Amino acid sequence: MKKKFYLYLFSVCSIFFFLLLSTQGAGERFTIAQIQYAGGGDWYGDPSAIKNWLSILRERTDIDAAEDRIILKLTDHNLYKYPMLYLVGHGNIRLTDSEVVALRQYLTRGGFLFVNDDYGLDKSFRREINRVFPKQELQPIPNSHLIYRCFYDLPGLPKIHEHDSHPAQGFGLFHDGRMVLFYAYSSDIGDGLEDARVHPDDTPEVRELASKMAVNLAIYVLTH
Amino acid sequence: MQFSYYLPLWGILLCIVISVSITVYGYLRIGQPLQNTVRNILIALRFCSITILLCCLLAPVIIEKKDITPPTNLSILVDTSLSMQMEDNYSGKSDQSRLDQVKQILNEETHQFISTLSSDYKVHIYNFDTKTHTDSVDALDFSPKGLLTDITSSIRDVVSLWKGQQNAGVVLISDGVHNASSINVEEIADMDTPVYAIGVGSAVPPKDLRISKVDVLPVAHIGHESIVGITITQSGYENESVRVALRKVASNQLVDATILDISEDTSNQGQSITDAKQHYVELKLTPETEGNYQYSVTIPSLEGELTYANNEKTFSLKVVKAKLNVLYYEGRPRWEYAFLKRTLERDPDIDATIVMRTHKVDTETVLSQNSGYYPIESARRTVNSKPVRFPESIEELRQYDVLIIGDLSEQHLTRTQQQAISSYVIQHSKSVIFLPSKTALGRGGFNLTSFADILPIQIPNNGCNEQEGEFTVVPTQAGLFHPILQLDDSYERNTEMWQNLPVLTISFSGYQQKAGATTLLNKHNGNPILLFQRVGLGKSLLFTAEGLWNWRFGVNSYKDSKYKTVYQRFWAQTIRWMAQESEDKTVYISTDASSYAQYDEVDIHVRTFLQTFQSQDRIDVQLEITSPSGTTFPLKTRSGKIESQSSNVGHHSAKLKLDEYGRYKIRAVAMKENRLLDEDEINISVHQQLIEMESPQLNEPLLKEIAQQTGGVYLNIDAVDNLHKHIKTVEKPVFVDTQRDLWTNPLLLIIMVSLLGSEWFIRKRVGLV
Repeated sequence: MKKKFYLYLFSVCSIFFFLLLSTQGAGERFTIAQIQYAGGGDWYGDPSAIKNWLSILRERTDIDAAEDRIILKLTDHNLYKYPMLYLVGHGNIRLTDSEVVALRQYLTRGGFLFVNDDYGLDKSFRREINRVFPKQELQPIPNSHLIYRCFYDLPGLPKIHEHDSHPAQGFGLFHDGRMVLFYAYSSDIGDGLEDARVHPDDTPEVRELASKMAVNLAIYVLTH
Repeated sequence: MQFSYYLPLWGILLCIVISVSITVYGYLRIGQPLQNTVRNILIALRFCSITILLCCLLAPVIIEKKDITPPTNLSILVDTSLSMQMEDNYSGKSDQSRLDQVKQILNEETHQFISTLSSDYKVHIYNFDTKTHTDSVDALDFSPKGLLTDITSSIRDVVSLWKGQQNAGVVLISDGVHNASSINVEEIADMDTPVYAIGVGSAVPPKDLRISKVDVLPVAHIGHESIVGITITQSGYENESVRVALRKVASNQLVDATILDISEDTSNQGQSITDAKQHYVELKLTPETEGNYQYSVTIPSLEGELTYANNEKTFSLKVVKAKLNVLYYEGRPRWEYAFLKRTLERDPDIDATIVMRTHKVDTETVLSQNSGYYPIESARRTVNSKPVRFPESIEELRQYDVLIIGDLSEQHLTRTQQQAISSYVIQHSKSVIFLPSKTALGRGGFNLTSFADILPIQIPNNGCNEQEGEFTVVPTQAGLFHPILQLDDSYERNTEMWQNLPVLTISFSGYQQKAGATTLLNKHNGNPILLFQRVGLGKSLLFTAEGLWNWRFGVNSYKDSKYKTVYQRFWAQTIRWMAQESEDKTVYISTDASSYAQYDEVDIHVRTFLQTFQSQDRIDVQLEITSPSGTTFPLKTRSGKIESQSSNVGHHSAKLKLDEYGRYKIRAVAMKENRLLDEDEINISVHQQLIEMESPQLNEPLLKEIAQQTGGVYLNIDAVDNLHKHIKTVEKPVFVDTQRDLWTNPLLLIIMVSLLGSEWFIRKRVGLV
């Protein structure tokens, strides 16, 4: 009975501790907040990607990375605790007017958004980002850009997961000389970062390319 | 013929019938017999007399047309600018000055030019330079004094002078040198007045070597190289080389010099009518001390030059401290770094060099090829040209005003680099800001370095204790009044803002504060967060917390916009205060150029800068100008905003017309609430206006174009006697109707007296009297 009580107490404390961590965020530790959006798309996709991404950062770089992701809506009052956001999905995205304003302010005031096209996101994302920055268009990021060679020297955005024959292409948006958004189109870095068992078809070499691109992304955002 | 008193025809006839009837009746009623012939004669004589009398009573007049055509004006404009003093004997043209040639033809005693024209026109003679001078000066007394020429304005002046009257045109006697503005021939053509241009002088350019232009920024920075761009123009010289020298005027010390081959045109500009060749050369100067200095650029005087006055040009240079050179060395990627980098790069008064290096080098990464240094791009267009590695020696390091050391371990720096940092502060009176985290304050961090002595804290051997968790900061009493912690002008508001700032997330404890260190910020529970200490000749500042970037990013969720610039302001104040060795100036005066020509207009800019970010609203800036002749006068300024991130920068500006040449002294005094804040001054060099001598040869194409476009003709002065044949007649005769009284004519009286006398005589002869 006593053993059961201690087990119960331990479980309650563990849950409380976990909840405390998830509400406070990771403090100074680098983490990435995944955006919860409406519209029907699977905003919750790549559930193990960020955790693995942060783990890779801890192993390979000096970045003091947290354990796992944070999940946020764009209108969350904690949004400005996390300067890097992650948006992923296969389906439709629909931002409310207040989310459009919030994202615009977030990006122009120092935040960064990494958008991973899991396949099928492109049309709705382009429509919504056009609402966020109506006067700007997504600019193709040349393969010579520092984002591809700031830590690992990559020839460009790697093609991780094949959905159709479209080549992988990086796009960006800039504000005041700073890249505020990186959109990985038809590459699916997120799939490459997921646990190996999720996409068994992805070879270790391809997964390594995804890891390298993810490291470059984090390094670029933290140094620019 | 008309009658002044109008009477209808029937009235006149009635009067005549009545008078005839009375006359006939009178003569028929005479008692004594008369011959019919005599009676008829008497009746006729009386009838004529009465008719004439009747006519006179009606005041007959004659209408005549009178010619009142006014004389046609012809204005002669004589160029009396400086270039008209030229003698063109170098080209075999004339050994008289251009103006003397003109005076010769205007002299009526020796030349028929004016008298010929005067026979047909009313001739007016004026002289001009930048405008037409209408004061009555005898043409023979004209002298070449004008420093600039404006043909368009001068023609416009004279055309408007005789507007509405008959004008045969304008005779423009000039060498065609126009330099006050760009010439607008279409505007002259629109005046609808033919211009008869008389060209004076030779079209061959004279031999001359001159400094056309000196380009240098009016403000230079200590220890920074300034480029002096010099444009040299020459005409008439072949295969010559000249030495271009830059000297400091006060000491005549040679600063830089170069030999220039002037035979080739290096300007890459199309050949103009001047046939002059332009050469561009750059000299360099690196000022070492603050102040206002005069420099001169000289070229030698060559034989046969038109003038030697343009072989030297002086310019003034205000030497100030350079932009703050800040070196930020970070040990790992983190948000603290990212937000501080962005802020430093966007501060217009900071030249930031930012390096990041890891000591964990993976051979697969690009860092391994660069000794662990991260490749970093600057957000600014002007990418820092300085090396992207941390300096190895104190000589390299001391070029920076402030050094920011991030989260480094002892392994990030060689022993030499560590000693250089120590020497940088202690011996070279520089400042270091430490922005450490768990690496630097940990076991293998700063405590093992040789610069541990300059830290305001003593780090224990096993490192400081890291404490995670959100906390607020509280300024100490010393901090509340310290320049770097002034987030608002008001004491209450500043205190409130510090209370409301976003929380920090990591703090460190377990260290020992050094005796001379001052705490400026505390954690809410009392542990020091920001400490400052004077070390040797310099200063060091240390943060024992992490998460300052929240003051930049976290404030975005605040509704009060005042918090939006807190982070930028905090760092701007911190770096400026750390950089200053003594009290910085509050007022900076600058001008748009370093060298001016007489009659140029200078733009004066005064910037006021308050380190404590006080309001600029009530700052009054007064300018005091001392001209080369020693006259001192005030000049009003107008305030305006400038595009700058720093809200503590005020801007005032003014314009000054430079009527004299020599050295002007401009002094700016900033007052706030009748209290002197600060003052600054600048000198500017104004050289004599010599533009008339830059291309003084006859500009025939311009004069011909003016003549052609306006319907006139162009003649050389040698053919001036033929001018009257070319001037088109514009005379339009003017007539008016005039009345002449007939009844006052004495002939009428004589006729009437004769008629009545004849009647009386006949009557006497026939015995009626």
